[in-house]
Amino acid sequence: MSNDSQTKQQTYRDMILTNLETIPNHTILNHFGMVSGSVVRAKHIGTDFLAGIKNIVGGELVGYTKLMEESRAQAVDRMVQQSRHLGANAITNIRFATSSITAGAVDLYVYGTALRVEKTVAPSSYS
Amino acid sequence: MQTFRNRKLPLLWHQKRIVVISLTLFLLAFATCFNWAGWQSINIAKAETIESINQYVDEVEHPTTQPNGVSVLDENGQPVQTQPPPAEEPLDVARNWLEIVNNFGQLIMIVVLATVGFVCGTIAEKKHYTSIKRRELKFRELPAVPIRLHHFLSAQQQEAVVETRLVTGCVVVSQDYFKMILANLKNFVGGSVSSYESLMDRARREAILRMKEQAPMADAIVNVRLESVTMGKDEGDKKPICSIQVLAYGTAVTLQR
Repeated sequence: MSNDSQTKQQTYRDMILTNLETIPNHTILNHFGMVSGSVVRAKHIGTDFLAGIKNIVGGELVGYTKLMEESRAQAVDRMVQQSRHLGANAITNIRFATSSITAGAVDLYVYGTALRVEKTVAPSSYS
Repeated sequence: MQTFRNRKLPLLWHQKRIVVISLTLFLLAFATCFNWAGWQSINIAKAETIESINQYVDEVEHPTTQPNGVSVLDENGQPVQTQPPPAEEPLDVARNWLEIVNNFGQLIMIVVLATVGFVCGTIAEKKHYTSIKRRELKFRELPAVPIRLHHFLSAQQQEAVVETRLVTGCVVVSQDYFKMILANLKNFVGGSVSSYESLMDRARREAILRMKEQAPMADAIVNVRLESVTMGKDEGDKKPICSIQVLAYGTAVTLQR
């Protein structure tokens, strides 16, 4: 919906992503187990240098925030690719796990349950 | 919607200026503290070279010994004495001061960095809190709750859900140099490290706000999880780039109107 330059969110037309256990008004047809995507990314040395300077004055490290956004999007994308391959159209119970391996590099892991769902209750004005 | 698309985050407003100012101050402090040593050594080397050349020229023009080792005699029959070197001049005041800078360069640098960190960090924190409060007021109609959907909505409302969407917000913030020193001092005596408390508070609230900004038209964000990790910290490094990364995620729920 919102396409702010800072908080860009990828949208998937054929995939429902949620961190709830169930999707409201949908029935589960098939259950494909756990799908996951993982990314390890690092920024180039210029960003690290700028972050080092920014560390003196404090505040937000924009380069690293961007790095996190990119790696999160990529991890979700990998997970969606995997569940598409299985024939799922929804991923529920999504969880993110982050850890820092070395200085300046970040490891992001996202996992969820791939499901095939079908809409059951259609509200009257919703087509 | 238009306002969301065009608006820059207020946090980024003074980002460039702070980086430029800190870079300049950093380079200035660096030059003052460490360049003097190199300059001085070059001067010493130059002086030594000139002295040795003068000595050589002196020896060639007024030789005290002949090539066969016999010392040269003057008119009175005494061996020629070379003139004693002049007494060393005492260091002037400016030189003394610079020597002090040279010796205590690291200490002065820490003080300069702490001052810069204190001033810039305090201003940035104040601005950040102002913007956080303003945006929290703006989004007060959109609740973000850490509980599940069926606890938050009634059965009737659950039937009216038309869209569920994963929304995330993430932010990486770092502490300033002054706060780092304060926290290190506080580490000795223990107790609550209040300088980091405000940092974590700011980071979490900012992450939640960014998550809300992704779904401004939703009715609620349920099942919100917060995750934080310390990023880019080396245990063995003396001056680690310590930054805290917070990721907030949840499910935006839109009801049928």
